[in-house]
Amino acid sequence: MDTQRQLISHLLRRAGFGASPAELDQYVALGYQGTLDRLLNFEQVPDSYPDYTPTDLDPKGRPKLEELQLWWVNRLLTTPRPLQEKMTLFWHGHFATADSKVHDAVWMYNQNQLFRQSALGSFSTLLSGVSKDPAMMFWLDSQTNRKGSPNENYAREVMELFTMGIGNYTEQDVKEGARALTGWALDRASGTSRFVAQRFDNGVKNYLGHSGNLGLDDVVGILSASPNTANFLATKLARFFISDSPDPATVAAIAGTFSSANGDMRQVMRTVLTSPAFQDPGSFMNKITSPVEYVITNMRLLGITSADKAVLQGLRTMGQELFNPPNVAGWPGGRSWLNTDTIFARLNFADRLTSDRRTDAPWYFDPQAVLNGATDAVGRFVELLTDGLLPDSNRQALQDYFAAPAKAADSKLRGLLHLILSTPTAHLS
Amino acid sequence: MLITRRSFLKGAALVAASSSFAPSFLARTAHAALSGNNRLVVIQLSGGNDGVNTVIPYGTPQYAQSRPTLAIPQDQLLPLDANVGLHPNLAKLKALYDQKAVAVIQGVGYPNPNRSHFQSMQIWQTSSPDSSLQTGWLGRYDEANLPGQRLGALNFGALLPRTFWTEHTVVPSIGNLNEYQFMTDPRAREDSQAQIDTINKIFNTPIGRDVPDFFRQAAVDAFQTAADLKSAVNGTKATAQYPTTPLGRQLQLVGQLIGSSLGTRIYYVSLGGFDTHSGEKRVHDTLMKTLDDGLDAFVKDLQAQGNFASTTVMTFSEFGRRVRENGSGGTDHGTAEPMFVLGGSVNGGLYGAYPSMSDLDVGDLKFTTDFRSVYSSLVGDWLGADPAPVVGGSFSRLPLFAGSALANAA
Repeated sequence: MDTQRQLISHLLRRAGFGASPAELDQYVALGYQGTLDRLLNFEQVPDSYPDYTPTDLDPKGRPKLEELQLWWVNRLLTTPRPLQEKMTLFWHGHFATADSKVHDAVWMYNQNQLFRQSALGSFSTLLSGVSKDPAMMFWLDSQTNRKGSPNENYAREVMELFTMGIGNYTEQDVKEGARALTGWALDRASGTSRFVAQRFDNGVKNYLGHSGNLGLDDVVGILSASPNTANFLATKLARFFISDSPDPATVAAIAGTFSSANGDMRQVMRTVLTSPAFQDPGSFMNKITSPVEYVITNMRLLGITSADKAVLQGLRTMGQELFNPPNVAGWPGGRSWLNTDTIFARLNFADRLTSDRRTDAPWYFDPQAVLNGATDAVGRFVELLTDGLLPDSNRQALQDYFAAPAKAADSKLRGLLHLILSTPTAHLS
Repeated sequence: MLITRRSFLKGAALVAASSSFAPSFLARTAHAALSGNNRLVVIQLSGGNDGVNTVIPYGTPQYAQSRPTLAIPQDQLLPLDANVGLHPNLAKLKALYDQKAVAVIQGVGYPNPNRSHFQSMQIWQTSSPDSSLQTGWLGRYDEANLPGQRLGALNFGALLPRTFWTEHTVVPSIGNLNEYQFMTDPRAREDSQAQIDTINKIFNTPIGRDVPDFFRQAAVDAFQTAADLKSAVNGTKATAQYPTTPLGRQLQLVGQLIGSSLGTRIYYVSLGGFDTHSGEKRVHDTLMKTLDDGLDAFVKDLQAQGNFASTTVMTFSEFGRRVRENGSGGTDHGTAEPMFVLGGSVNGGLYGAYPSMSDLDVGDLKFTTDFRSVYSSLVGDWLGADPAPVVGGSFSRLPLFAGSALANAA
């Protein structure tokens, strides 16, 4: 694989979930800037993926979360708008809300759609939407935050985890912020939120240096405009898209765009994806993938377009259940994805995926089709799954394995794919 | 006769059976005598447990006044003395307390309390309120005291807590024992060994790049610990009855491994769901029952095995909760909390002072015992190591164990 193709594959892996050889051909023809434009201006790419409509209900008549999880996994597998989905995943981890408390798949879906629609829009618009989002409100108890009986949960986390980061506000700001955020009610039956004037504390609040009869819109405005928020978001984006330990200059450049563009995420992401640190060949296949990235990218590369519950089970054991982040801080990411247990979960997922010969299984694929007539199976698969960036010693070990006599050619190809998906490089992007 | 480092350092009267008084030798002898095969099981209660409704200061009028809907009526709670009592769903723990197997430590916290889940959890896990230490306290213990023991410490769950972060070694984590192995194609058994040999070759060849080598090393650890576990667990069976809660299942596996030849010294399990900002009563009642049932099954299992005397359990949460309930039938983030330390060698009873319910720090309890005192007691008087480098300084100890009382009195 030449370096230009590697660069564009790198972009598609980080800003999406990898690209099949045919897709990659198209992107390479567009060039780096052309590909970037297409990723950023995703509205111009048609997406006919159907809306989620629950059909699988539990005995109490409530939609089962698994159906929604599969809806998103299948969307990730087939999306023609990779960056929109990648940003949706980013926002899901950022504004981490878990169904384990919300217990309502439809609300979780509506929040997911909010992330998707605002994927590359204005941060303050998204923050405003999230602050009134029923799933978030229930998750952080906003509907119980009323005049005279404040609940600090959302007021604290919105500063600590969603905008400025810890150390940039006082305990008094938490209390005053909670007062400013009063007045929002939740209608459980319709799944909507609304402002109820009687519940709003309309006294003067002193919040982060601002004073007055502040409300939710003021809190959103103050937080969105804070340079601390620019830095906090920039650091998180750099960690998600570029490196687990991003250099300060890269973070500063991203924060600079966030401030100058008033939180326009399209411009912010252009800075992220054109930064020298992002495009440095030393960063190719050098960042640990999340379970969702590992699973979705490799399934896409193998040409698989649908999943079943085995994929959900795999993601769970690898430590990333969609719609159920571990807590309000989201998945910590980076090296924390890896421990002895999640390593086995990853390798055993690869085994189940590559050894399933049931042609009616949703994730079924034919290794011969992936081989596509190539004579050098090791070379073909290594290029497909690692952009050819596998260490020579690993490649040699695979060649030795593949050269040894086999009872069945099909099994040998499956075994080879399992082994490649088990190499350290296959767990990087 | 035992001696601890603390009493030696304080220059207190030495009580020792050894004929030698060389300080380092003395300390080491004492450690060896203490440690043996002593095990520590940590139960992390994630989300901030409402300590005021766990160990309840019912004798203080401010309790009922602060909690118009959440206060537990005096005729329902389980009194420990004339002032405090346990949550009604901790009946089995209360029975163990009555057998002097449970230390209830009141008002545990640290200076300048942090009310963020993540910061405060990190403080407890690193034992570093000023954030000067990056590694975890049990990671430091493991690295300094259990060198070369791949399964000296063991976590349960898909996420390794910061408690086990170390400079060099990787503490293993287990979710499901059946999946804790490298599986190969069930339809190509004849090829299985070739696949295992190939992947071993790949994982045992350094790549020379930081990130892939991190994965590689974790994989090597996974394979080695899987082999160790397999040989230790082979032939043992989990026979004891446990509740089917996630905590019950984790403790069942801990019980099974304690009964094996594994020799693991530190076990770590977690129970989540304690962030009760609203509708606390139902959630907290259930959690207390889950904890009570899980501990009871675990203790019975250990007693049947004859391992209760060599096992100590410690519970903690990242913080307690606000004294006054909020407007949503819940409580917001607070500060000091009670801890439970239980086991067959524990000096049961009430420790520390319950924080004042009227002299509060912006609505929160002022801690009376530093959590690092509890850690120091466990490390020094139970695990038999020097607590200072593990805990991050010298802290007074509590007489939690037979023998430690003697040291403390000295």
